[in-house]
Amino acid sequence: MKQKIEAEAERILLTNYETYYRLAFSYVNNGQDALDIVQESAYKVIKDLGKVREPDFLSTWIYRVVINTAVDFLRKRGKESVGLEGVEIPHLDHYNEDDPMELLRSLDEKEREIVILKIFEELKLEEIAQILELNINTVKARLYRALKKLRTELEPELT
Amino acid sequence: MDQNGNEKLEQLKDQYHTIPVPDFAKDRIMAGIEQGKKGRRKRSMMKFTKKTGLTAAAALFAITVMANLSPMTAKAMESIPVIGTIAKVVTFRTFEESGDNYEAKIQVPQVSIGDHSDSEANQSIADYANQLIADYENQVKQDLEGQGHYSVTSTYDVVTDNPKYLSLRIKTTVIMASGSNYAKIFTIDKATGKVAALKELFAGKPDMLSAISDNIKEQMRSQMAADENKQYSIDSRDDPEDDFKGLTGEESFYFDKDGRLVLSFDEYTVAPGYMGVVEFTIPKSVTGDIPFQ
Repeated sequence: MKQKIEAEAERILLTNYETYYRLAFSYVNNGQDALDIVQESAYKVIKDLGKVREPDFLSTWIYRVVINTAVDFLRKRGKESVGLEGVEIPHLDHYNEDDPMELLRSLDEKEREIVILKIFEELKLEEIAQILELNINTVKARLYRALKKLRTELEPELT
Repeated sequence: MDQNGNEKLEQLKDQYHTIPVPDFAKDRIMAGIEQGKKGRRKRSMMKFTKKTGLTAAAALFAITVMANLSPMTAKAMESIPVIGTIAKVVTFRTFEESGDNYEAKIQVPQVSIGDHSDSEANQSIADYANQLIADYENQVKQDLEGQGHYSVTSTYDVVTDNPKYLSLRIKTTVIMASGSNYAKIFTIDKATGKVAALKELFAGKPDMLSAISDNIKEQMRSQMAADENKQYSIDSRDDPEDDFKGLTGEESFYFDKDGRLVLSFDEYTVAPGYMGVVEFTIPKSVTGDIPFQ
């Protein structure tokens, strides 16, 4: 059974590494760090497989590991340098069409996570609640707030 | 959000999905997976340690049951009505693991005397095996790069099985850059289930140890005189401090089929390495008849 879970975890990691990379990237905003996070996450996932009871829960759990690793990474790095990650960038009048991440920067970390997971990765609200270990209503509220902000960005002519 | 907004959101989504992912990303994730597997093995090792009190690996271990009952003992048992204890030796477990550069195969024997398999002797044996395993794991841990090479093979055989004593010889070969051989012998007093130390054998005869030591020195000298290829750490001109001085009473020993005492020394302890593990049989003229009952 253990080997099955390990094989499944490996399969998920190798199939979805791009997703994890982009997710990591959304936190740290540079490739090198995103790669570090991805590797660290894979390591943690495999090493701690004992914590996973059900193979169905694997995918959710892996997301959680990636996010937690990214957040930890930022926290550690935040101590060394003053980055822009923790600071909310003032809203731009219109966003740079070439860089989707720039628009996401206008959201705070918690809102951004939810937008990525719900809008970009199309996960169900329930799953997102599990990944982020939040109450589903909290997830909905944050999503709503995030979309509202984005709406302001996406449709500047209406505000 | 209205139609226009939704479209733009879709656009945003597409753009997100085209964020370039470097080629290395896949390699990095594979590296992480491999590291995780190594880490997992170590963690299982530690869990097993806590559970059984023995150091072991998550690797396969096979339990083979091997009852060893020498026909001589059985016969002796028949004619001696008082002592009826039969000692059985079982391979309790085999610690086995092999990787690219590391491999270990350590058989751990367990002795049961009569109905008891809970003896002190088994604890000593287990401790010894654990030490071998710990050394092995230490090597593996220190060398995560996979550059080193370490292999340990440990087997045992029964070298004495008389009414009073059972002697297990555990032979271990460790190959690192070069090879090392160790022979550790546990001689077990069947009546008590304890490991008998050499000095205990001669508790009533305090001079016996030095008498045996002298005999060993004599044997060393005569062997060297007879064969120029043999060398022992005795009468050295260069390093007299390393010479064999005498027995401590903790040495490995057993009894051969004629009831004579045999002492076993690991490589390098009383002779240069190339001599290997050396044994000396002590004549009964020195020890007298060692009591069996």
